[in-house]
Order: sequence, then C-alpha cells, then structure tokens
Amino acid sequence: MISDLFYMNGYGVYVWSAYFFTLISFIILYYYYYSSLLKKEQELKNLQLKNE
Amino acid sequence: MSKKVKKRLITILLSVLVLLIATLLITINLRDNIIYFYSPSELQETTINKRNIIRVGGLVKDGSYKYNDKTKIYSFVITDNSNEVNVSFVGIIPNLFAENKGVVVEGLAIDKVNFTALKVLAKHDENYMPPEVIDALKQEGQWQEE
Amino acid sequence: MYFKLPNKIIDELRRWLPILSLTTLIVFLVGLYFSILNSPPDYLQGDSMRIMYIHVPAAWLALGSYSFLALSCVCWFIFRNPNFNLFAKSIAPIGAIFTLIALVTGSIWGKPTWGTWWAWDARLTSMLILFFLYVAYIMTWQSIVNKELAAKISAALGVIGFINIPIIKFSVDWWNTLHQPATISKLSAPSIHISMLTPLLIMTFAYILFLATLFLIRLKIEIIEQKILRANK
Repeated sequence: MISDLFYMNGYGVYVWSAYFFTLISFIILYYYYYSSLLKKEQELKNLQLKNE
Repeated sequence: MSKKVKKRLITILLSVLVLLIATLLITINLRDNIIYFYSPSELQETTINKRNIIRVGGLVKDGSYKYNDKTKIYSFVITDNSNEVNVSFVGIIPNLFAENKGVVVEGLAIDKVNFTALKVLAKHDENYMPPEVIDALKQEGQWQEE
Repeated sequence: MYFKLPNKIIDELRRWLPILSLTTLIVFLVGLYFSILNSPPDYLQGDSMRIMYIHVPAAWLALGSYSFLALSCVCWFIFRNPNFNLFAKSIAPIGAIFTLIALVTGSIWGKPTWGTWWAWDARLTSMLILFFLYVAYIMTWQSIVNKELAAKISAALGVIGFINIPIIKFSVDWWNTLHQPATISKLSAPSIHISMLTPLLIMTFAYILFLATLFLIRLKIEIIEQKILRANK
C-alpha cells in the first residue's frame, strides 16, 4: 500500500520530485520572507528608540 | 564605494545579459519556429529541404501502427483526416503513444508523404478522466474516440 | 488618484498574519490529501497527471501576478503615485517563483507524457520569457541607483512585457504547439471530471492564499524600508 503510493505505477519518481520541488520552494520562500519581515520590524523599532 | 560600483556593474551586466538571452530566444526559436510542427496538409504545401530537421504532427491513424521484429523499425501513419504521412522510426516510443491519439515526430522528410523520424513525442489532449468513467461512457456508447 | 496606503488595514492584516499563514497551510494540506490520496488517476496519463494539480495553479497565478504588475505600472504612469510601484515591486519576486514552479513541474510532467523534458514550442518558450521578464523587472530596481529613473524604466518594462501574457494564453490556439489547449476554457463544460476538478480548485485556492500571504509580507517589508529610508534622511 505504502510502496504503491511511492511507486505510482512507475510515475512516482516524477510525481514526487515535482511535489518535492514545489513544497521546498514554498517553504524556503515563506521562511525567507517572514524572517526578513521580523528583521526589518526590529530594525525600525531600534531606529525609533534611538530617535526618541 | 568601489564595492558598490562593482555590485552595480555586475547587476547591470546581468540584466543586460538576461534581456539579451530573452530576445535571442524569441528571434532564434520563434521566427521560423512559432509553428512547432506541420500538419500533414501543411507539409504538402511547404517546399521540403531534405537536410532540415522538421516536425510533423497529427493523429496516429487507426490500424497503421506496426513493428518489424527483424529491422526493429516502427512504422505508423500520421493523419489530419485529409492528408497522410508515412513515418518510420527506430528508437524508444513514449508510453502514451497510441493509435487515434496525437503525436509529433521530429526528423527528416524524404518526400511529401514519407518521413523518417529521429524522435517521437506523444501529444496529449486536454481531457482528464478517471478510467472508470471512460469504461462507463464506452459501455453506454457515448465515448467518442477522436 | 493620490491615495495614501491604507496603513491601518495593512497593520491590522499584519497582526492576523500567523492565522493567515496557518489557514494557508491547512488548505494546502487538504489540497495535498485530495490530489495525492483522494483522486483517481487519469485513464491515459495514470498517476503522472497528479503533477497537474501543482502545475496549473502555479501557471495561472504566474500570469495573474504579471497582469497585476503591469496594471500597477500603468497606474503609476498615469497617476505617478509611488504606492503603485510598491505593489509591483512586491508581487514581482513572487510571480517569478510561481513561473519557475510552473516551468519545472511542467518539465517533470513532460518527460513521462510527451517523452521529452522540454520543447521549444510557443507555449513553453513564452512562459520562459515571462520568467525573464520578472527577473528583468526585479533587476532594474536593484541595478539603477537613481530611484526616479528606476521607477520609469521598470514601469516601462512592466508595461511592455504585458504583450507576452495574451501570447502565453492563446499560443496553444494560435499555433501548433506540443502543449495541449486549455482544459478549463469554457465554464459550462470543462473537459475534466469532477473528481479531478475538486483537488485542482482546492489547490488553486491554497495557492491564492499563499500568494496573498507572501504579498502582504513583501508589501509590509517595502513600507518599513521606506520608513527607515525617510528616518535616515
């Protein structure tokens, strides 16, 4: 059952690599964007504290 | 400052390169080649250069697909329902290749009706159906092959 | 149209970002469940058609993002409000990634279906050009230091590039291509069975949510960068 899912009648290698590529790009993109947002917000906060 | 200038220079050069590649792709690959393949009827109208690799596409004619065990040559007929082209091919046929289905062959035209393929590509249609539904439709006699 | 950015709404959305992200993830998982486990294989392509569920929404949104970008650029030309450039700048990298995903998954699907990874037909080539257009747009902002000049050049590029969008859309109808014509072109009778349309629509919804999430983050980053720039002046 599980091995059927991976094999997918011979198409598994194509299907899984396509899904893997998509998911990995999405995760990297989200992580990179979210972390740079947090960084920028911190930077702005520091700047405002300094100016006060 | 010089570091900044360097960085700017690199990005500008890169963007120029990207644009250049894009325009090159357009001119080289689209100019003669916007049509990816000729239909058998279009092949009748074009002047054939026997040295140029061209592509012909259409449906594989029902009952025309044959394999010669001794010579290892596959042969089939591509049709667009008005004209036909005989194709011979040695190599690997894609899984989805079937009679009554779309195909694109790449190779050399011997004349207007005979073609030696170097590569066979299956052309897929836009229908997506589960196998059970196709069986049911076939039983009801509602499924029409192209 | 000298509108101000709706900063209050954007800040409010920022507060909801974790929940928006979580919703995206859940819809995505539901979409994955349907597209891998709970949908039938195609009668011809077998299981390889499952790639379609992640390929088609990426391609749709790649085109949609560019249309939004081009529209923002046109609005900038007309109204000269820098906020329009913020929109275009925020969507560009996201659109580029979606185009890349459409290209890569399409290529992986092409190998078992057509028998080749790539073909220089009109659809595939114009899609590759779309990717280059996104990259060129991003690069004009990065490479030109004079931001007023960068605004003009990038906006011009964004508008000119829009010519490619109808070419992509209709390439399969205008020219003989290896790529098949659109499945869902007419709303009345799409040539796809309902059991396969469901995962496709859920996936499309997930992709739209993900696009909205990323766009919100990107827009917020651009706004903060402007604030920092102004504060440092």
